[in-house]
Amino acid sequence: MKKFYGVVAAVSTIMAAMLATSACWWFYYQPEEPAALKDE
Amino acid sequence: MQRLSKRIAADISQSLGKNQSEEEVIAYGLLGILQLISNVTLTLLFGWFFGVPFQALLLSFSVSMLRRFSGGAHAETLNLCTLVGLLYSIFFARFAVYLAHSELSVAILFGFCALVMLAAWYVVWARAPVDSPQKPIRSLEKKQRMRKGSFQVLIFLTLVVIALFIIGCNYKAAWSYGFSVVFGVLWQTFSLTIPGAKLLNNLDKISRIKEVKQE
Repeated sequence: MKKFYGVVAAVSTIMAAMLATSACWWFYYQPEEPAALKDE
Repeated sequence: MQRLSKRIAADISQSLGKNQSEEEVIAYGLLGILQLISNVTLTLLFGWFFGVPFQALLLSFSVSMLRRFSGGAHAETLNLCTLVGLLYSIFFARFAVYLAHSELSVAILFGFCALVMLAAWYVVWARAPVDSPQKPIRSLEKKQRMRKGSFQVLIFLTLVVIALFIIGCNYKAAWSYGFSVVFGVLWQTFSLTIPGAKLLNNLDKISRIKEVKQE
């Protein structure tokens, strides 16, 4: 199970990084961006 | 969906010993994945029901590709976002198929497409990138990168439309895909404008009134 969680965490982190480098989310909803990814 | 992504992220973080900040990043990415899967699935499902699954998906992807760089107006709730995207994709994919097989003159059809693409170029030049309070773009470097990316995507989509119209001379169904891309660009361009932001804002207000009434 830990291995599976590790894969999900890695894929989610990659997705989060891709979303963070975009101007906004790809669809019409934009949730609050986590502080760690904010463009300061 | 937001609750689900947070719950899964909390489970993962507990199991892997991640800190609060890492958990937030995982939840954010997970929500993106879940939204992508649900949007693609719903678009294909309803598109299949109305006989336009791939046109609707292509339209949706055209919006997303341009949106990634140009930004634009947002719905405040996830459900409204899904509903607006779905309704627009299906309705205009259906309209694209109708136009491709209509008796309208080729000059009118291509003139309309040329007009939309020219308007898109102008609006992107004048307004992109449009950020939101939830995700402000502060650095000049990122703004310039997003602007450049918007133009690159527009060049790519313009070439795709031209290629599909050329293919459509022998295989008319290709025109429906070309029109789908054009309608995708049209919607995304509209969401960059002030009237586009006002429309989504008004839809948000209506959806909030309904939520209050339901409570």
